[in-house]
Amino acid sequence: MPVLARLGLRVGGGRRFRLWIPLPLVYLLLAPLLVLAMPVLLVLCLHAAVNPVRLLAVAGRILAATRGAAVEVESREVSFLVHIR
Amino acid sequence: MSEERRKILQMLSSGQVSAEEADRLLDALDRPSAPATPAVATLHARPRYMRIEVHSEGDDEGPVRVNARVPIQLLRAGVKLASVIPPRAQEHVNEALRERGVPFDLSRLRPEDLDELIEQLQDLTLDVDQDGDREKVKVRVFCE
Repeated sequence: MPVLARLGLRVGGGRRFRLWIPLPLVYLLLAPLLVLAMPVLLVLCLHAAVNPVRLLAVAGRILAATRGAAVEVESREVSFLVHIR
Repeated sequence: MSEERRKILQMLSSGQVSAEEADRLLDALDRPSAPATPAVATLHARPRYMRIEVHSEGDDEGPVRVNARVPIQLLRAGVKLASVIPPRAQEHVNEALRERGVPFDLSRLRPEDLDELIEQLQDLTLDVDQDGDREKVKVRVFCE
């Protein structure tokens, strides 16, 4: 599972902002929301004829696979980067 | 989460290392260990990432660079996601693709196909040069 997200942003010739987000904390904060959203998700899955267990398994797999992903965009006006570790 | 990652995060939270040092340590953990012999490593090396680089030289806004690194595991997980899509929705997607001139059947997408694609991408560097009136775009897609 990814453990750290690094975000960077620079607008114009201004200062570059950098932010390190410890993702385990984000998971802890989002866990109660996920529990609350579970019944809605279940109803939607049944309506769309999707196996909810399989969907959750794939979603977890996608989340786990994001480790190592990185996007950097740099132009004269704006530059930003997202690194997931 | 591995024990090493947990230790690094604990050191970060206790202030023993700075955020940048923790970032470097995590980066070092992600890096594969040095191979014993380069020849053996070349034979068995499997790409871990697909890299997409776009370099556009616009006239008005100056040059724009985009550099994206996508883990191969993420592509594999995406293929799995396609298998979760209900058949009726798959038909809609297939029809929309067909209308846009892409005769592709989502239901036939298998992880083995992706393995074959990755195998081909390993030795492939795709260079696209577009010389328009105002800008020049270069795109490179390769696995590393």
